[in-house]
Amino acid sequence: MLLGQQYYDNPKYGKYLEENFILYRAPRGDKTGDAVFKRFNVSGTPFLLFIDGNGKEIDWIRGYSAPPDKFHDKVQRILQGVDTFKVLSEQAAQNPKDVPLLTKLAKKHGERDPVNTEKANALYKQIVAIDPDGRMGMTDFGKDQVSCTEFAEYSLGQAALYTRGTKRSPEPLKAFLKKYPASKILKSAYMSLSSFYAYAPGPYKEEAFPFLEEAVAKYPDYPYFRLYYVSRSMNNKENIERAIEMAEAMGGMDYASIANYRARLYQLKGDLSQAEAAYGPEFMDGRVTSLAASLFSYASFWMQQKKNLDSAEKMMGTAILLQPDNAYFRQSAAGLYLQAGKTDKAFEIFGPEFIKTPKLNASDLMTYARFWVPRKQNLESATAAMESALKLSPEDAYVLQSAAQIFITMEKPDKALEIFGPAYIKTQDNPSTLSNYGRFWAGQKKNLDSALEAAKKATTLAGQSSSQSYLWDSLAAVYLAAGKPEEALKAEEKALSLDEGYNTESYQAQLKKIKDEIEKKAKK
Amino acid sequence: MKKAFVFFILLLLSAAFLPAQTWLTGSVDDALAKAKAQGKLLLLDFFASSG
Repeated sequence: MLLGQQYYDNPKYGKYLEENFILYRAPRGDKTGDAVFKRFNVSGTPFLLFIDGNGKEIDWIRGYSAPPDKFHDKVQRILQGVDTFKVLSEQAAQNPKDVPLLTKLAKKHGERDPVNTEKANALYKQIVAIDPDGRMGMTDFGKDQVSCTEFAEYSLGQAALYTRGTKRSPEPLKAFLKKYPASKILKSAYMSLSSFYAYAPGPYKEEAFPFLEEAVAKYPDYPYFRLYYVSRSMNNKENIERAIEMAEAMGGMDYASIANYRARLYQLKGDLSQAEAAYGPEFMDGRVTSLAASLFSYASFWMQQKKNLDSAEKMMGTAILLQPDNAYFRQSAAGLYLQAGKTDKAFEIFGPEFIKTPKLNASDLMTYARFWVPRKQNLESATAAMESALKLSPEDAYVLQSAAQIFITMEKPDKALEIFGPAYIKTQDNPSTLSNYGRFWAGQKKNLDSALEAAKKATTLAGQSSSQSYLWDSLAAVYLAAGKPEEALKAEEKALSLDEGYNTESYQAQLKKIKDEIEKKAKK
Repeated sequence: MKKAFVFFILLLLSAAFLPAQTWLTGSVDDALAKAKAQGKLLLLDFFASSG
């Protein structure tokens, strides 16, 4: 949004862009746009990709930060071929031991795909192997300079914490803290580890509190470390007294005031674009989103407790007023009102008027339909919403699965099979889509041959990483539904062997169900 | 002098209301072919309305 306002819409840069590039725009949420995101494997936005006429990627820019002049410099450098991905790759092929060059290239890979960091990691490993003592060059880290090796070790530590599809481990980053106790990256490393320990599963629970205490002691003025401690405590339901102390010490963390001071200082400096970056519309939109979420959480909490109802309903109304297009707020509020016997209020918030909102997407419409159909209320409007969603996104797996669910609720299984049955799944090769399909039909105890075929294909297509454990769990569910508990047992054991602790409870519950079924079968 | 001032204001206004750049939105392959024919780079802007 800021990129458009400050850069694209600024006539100062518009002419340059028009003259030097062929410009193409891929909006997320639009059918063609989504296909382009998929084709070029782009996830976050904003993201600018520069390609030559032969389709070869030359370079990219992820994110936007003011001032626009500085951003324009980056675009100009790409056009001039300065340190682009293409140029760096060619140089690295010529000089495979040039550590600063390899670091630049690794950073480029990291920027291209922050989630799948294999390419960047391979280069960082090379850097550490070539220059273990960090003497062959420096690189930027924010406003500081650190050795390329130090940066490489930090990046590998980060990847070990976050990278999807690998066994996550805090050990490399903990080793980094020990090796570089005076590092300029130290605080960032503590932040990453604290965030990890705030939510880490099973085996890490015990190390979490001592580590978070260490982080708070090291950075007593930085409230986020306390926040992580509080989150851990709430997750574990342990050390509550200490967490309360931490929460009380977090007082005074008012980001709006800090942002206001920063903006005033930038204004004094004569740099309004930095003031806008710190305290502009995007900042305030974020505050409104966060306020709406707070109001919603407050209202939901008290409406569930059936206490403070006047205040809760008032705050729910304010949350919806702040974010009128938020289907999740409306759906949850309507559910609470129905529970409280206030059907009129539920209709007022999430009734037929809602689906006339022009900005709604297929997912919002389906949320609406899925809310009303099982309740056997407001059926005409709910069916109309479902039909609109199917027209808007006829190939979207979530939309199709939701529609199938609705048809089943309406006792029209043939219609469900028509849109989300064997003919549909044969065209799919995404493990997650295949697995969800299998689990869906296992839940219905229908269409089980096709469900089994899809769930098996999902596990074949996916790798062996921990993040894929749910595919095996789905396969087990389908085997169980199909009356094959022995096969289900093998699949569930595989799921458990891949899991890191995030899903252990639910997997073990299914394992017990499977074992009971085997026992029952043996008695027969 | 007055005429020159009016002309200057009109010039400024016309610049302010110039349309933004032309962004293609259809086929990427067509855009690539256009880039190749004109010897330019293709700039793909991936964006979300909220971001």
